[in-house]
Amino acid sequence: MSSRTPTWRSIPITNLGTTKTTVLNKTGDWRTFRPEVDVDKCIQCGTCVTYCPEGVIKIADMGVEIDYYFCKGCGVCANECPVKAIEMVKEEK
Amino acid sequence: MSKRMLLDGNHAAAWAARLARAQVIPIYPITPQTECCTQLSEFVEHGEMPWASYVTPESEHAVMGIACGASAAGARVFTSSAAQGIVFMEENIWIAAGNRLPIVMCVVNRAIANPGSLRPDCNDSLLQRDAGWLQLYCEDAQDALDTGIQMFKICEDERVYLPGIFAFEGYVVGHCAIPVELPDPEEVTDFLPPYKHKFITLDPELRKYTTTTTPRSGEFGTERVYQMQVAMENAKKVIKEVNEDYAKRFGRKYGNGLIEKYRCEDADALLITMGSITGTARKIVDDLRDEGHPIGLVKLRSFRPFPTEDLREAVKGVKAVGFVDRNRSPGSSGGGIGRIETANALYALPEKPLLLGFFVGLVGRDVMTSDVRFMAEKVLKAAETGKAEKDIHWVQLKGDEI
Repeated sequence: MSSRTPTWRSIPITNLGTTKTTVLNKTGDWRTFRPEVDVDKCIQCGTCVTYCPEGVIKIADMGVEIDYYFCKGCGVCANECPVKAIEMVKEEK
Repeated sequence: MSKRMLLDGNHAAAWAARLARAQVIPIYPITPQTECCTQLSEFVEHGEMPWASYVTPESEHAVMGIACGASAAGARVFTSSAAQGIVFMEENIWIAAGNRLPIVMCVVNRAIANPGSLRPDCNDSLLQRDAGWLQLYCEDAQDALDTGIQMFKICEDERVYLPGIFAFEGYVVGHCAIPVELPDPEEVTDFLPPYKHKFITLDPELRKYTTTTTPRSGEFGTERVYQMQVAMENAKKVIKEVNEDYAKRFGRKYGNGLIEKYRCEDADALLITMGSITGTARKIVDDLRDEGHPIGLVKLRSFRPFPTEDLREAVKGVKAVGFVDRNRSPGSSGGGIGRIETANALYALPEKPLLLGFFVGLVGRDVMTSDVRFMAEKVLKAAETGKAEKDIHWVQLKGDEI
């Protein structure tokens, strides 16, 4: 065992105060469908930003941006979009 | 100033939480623990615990969740429950231990349904024996008060950092009032300084966690469990130290902290008891000693950590041991939970005593002096003849054993 391998002596005794769970763990990798925005149709109204339960959509200079590391692919944004600019596309694994 | 009050186990436990200056008390009432709950409510309502927050959640499951959160946030946490309440909080009981939160819980033992009763047996606390909680058993209200205060000190020791249960039987201890010495509050504060966890803190600069569990912990799961095992081994030492320290300051001592031996000198036979049955057994041992029988008594104060070394030492030269089990474990390898653990503890000895097991006081049945005398005589007889007629006795069974 190399000296760098963590052992029971070197690891913290508790999860609390020691890990940044939702920062460290990318939770978007179990997604089945990904939302894709048609920038020509999008009117940047922000409805999807409001409805997204994960808070991963924001309006940036280049239009709507989705953080695919955390997006679970629930499809709420596509359902709520007033101009149907968001399409749910099956993930290829 | 120390003072003397007439208190039952429940009120003594509440006083222990008050004297220990518990800061967050999430609690849900359940017979036979309710008086502990109401007494603490009264303390807080009357402004006698101005430092404390008394929380009344919707269930025991929520109680233990809140206890975990509050303890992680840096508060000294006390709660208490019994029977179905303990079973209901099961999930978060494991979270508390795994996250190394030194929560102290008073379990007022009551039989788990079914067959259930409002009256005591010890399965509710013993059920938690694998979760990583310390467990100390008390025989009367004074014991409950002292052990309750000590429990905070033991759990909050950085060599331990585990939650702890101190348990006593409902009604028999829980509702039986005796004169109890209450130590001076300032002396208790001196004995038990304010709680500060070395690794977990509320300070936002240091607080980096966002949830209490993480899938990543699986990566070092074996190591984290081993750390808990090491903490349990450390706890044996800490319990003894705290017991000594407490005795020096307040003048009351409970054996060596882990076990308490009574008239064990030159004993051929030993009874091992937990909780309230110890008092009855002392009387029976006295009677039998007067009659010239070489019998002694060991009170098992600590069930977790289990005092393997101390028990091995205690049975040296003893021919027969009987464990008095006020709990059930149908289909076990033999007898109740106490006998199972004792058998394992003594197995490695080259010269083992005979080990008898007694089921008694199940589902709240009263344990009378005649029951204890029956058990003591069985162990004595095994010691004399070198052979146990039966390993396991169902002491109060109506009808023949098959």
